[in-house]
Amino acid sequence: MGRGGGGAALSLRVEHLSLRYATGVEVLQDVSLEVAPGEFVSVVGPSGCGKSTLLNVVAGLADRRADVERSGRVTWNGREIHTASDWVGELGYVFQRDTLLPWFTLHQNVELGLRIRGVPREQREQRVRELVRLVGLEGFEHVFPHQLSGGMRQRAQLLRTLAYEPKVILMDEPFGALDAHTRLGLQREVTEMWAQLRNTVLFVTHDLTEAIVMAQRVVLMSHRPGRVVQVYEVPFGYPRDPIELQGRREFALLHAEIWQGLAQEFRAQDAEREAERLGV
Amino acid sequence: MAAVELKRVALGKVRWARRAAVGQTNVGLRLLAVGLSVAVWEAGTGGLGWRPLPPALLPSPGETWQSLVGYARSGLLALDVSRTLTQAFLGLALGMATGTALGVALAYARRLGDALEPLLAALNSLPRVAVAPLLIIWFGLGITSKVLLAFFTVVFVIFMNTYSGVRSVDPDLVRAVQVMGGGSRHVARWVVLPWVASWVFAALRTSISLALAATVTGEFVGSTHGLGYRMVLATGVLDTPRVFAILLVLMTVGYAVVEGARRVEAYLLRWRPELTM
Repeated sequence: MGRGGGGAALSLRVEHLSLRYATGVEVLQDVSLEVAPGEFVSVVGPSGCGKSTLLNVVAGLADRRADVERSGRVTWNGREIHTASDWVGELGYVFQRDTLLPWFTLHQNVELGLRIRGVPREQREQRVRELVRLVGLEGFEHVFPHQLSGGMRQRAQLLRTLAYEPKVILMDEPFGALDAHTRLGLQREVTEMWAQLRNTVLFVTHDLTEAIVMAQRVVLMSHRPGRVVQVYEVPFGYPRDPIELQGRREFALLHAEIWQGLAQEFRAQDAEREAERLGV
Repeated sequence: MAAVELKRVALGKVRWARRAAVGQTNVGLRLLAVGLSVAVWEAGTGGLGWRPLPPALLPSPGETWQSLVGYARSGLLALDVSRTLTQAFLGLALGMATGTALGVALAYARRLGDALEPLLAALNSLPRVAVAPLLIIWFGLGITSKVLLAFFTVVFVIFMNTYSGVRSVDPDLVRAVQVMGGGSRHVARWVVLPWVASWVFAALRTSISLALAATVTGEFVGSTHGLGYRMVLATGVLDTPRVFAILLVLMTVGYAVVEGARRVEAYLLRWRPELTM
């Protein structure tokens, strides 16, 4: 698997990204990150550390209000990203919140990206049928989102993203709102699908176990303002089974190692909040 | 024998309860309620040989029905109903068009919207039928004054709903479409339009009743045709059965129109969890 410096022009790069509000609140501090083509990288850090902001900046969705000071840049294929349209349709984004359009059926939601690309109807139908079968949603094609369970909705959102085959997929705690069992199932499904498709993935989560079982590399971010503390290699190949993986000794060792760093960030964040509360 | 009868009644009750539990409408029960109301009315107006109030104060169902038949035979009923409905619908259509256009425009022109919002909210809280006499002075006894009154009654309700709708569009849904590569055309068609439509529909059902009420009020104040006009005439000569007949017509027409709108709305907004009836 190519990763790191190789094919620099083709990778997704975040270079010295800093972001602060005019009020003085610093969200991101000199974040640099490179994701090679076809690489799965997860970002883990305490909540409120700017992980989601990072994804929004990468997607070109971050607000460009006058009171946001920003330096550094994001490039994809050497092209600088300012707004979502700079991705020219090569980006997929799976949100934590269900963002299926409630007035469209599952089928209609999944084919949206294809409609934007002007794919003819018969091809769309066929593609949707394939995808729906892939995650076992057959029979629910013509059902509205409110009639689906949380896990099904998240699967549908995933299909909507995979349908138009984006080169880069950003995921913002996509399983955060699901129960543990559904979550495990989806983790397995996504790693299986990714092992075949090999899109470039940047996956944000606050769950360390999830970060390790899914990705090739884990980026540990500090508490606010978010910095990259360290990057860890995950020594497991694909296809992998997230459930089986969690029982392995290598997993336990890696988890313990990253946990030390993460725990330190938790403690530092707690200490800072306490200090703020006491008005120090 | 009596025990069997009792058992049958009990079984019937269980069946009814079950039907109610799964949300099925029981047409028979509904007709029974209507029949009972008419029976009580009949009983209080001489049906049991006891009539405390004269027909000029409280006519019986039979007298009302006779008056209604006479009204229909004269050809005036059809004329009045069509006149009243035409006025109400013209006002409603005009109000819909203006209200949605104004709502969308002011929601996008934020500064202008912010400036005009309190003024429009104040106009919205004005009891609108109060301008009926003014409209009669300005536009005469014809159809125009009634159309304008209906329009004036509904336009602010529709405007307010459209305006709030456009302003409350979920930014996450907009982002989701943008990320897929969708332009402003896609955002408008797939996110803003359906979102705002659901707000406009919410206003539509109330607006239909409002428009009808405004039209009849306008006809009370001054007109040459319509159900409201015919009612004023009947009141003047103490033809209470005719007044009751017209009230029945108004009730039926209003119910039919609102029920129709509710069904269209339930179908169009079937994607909303609270509306799957």
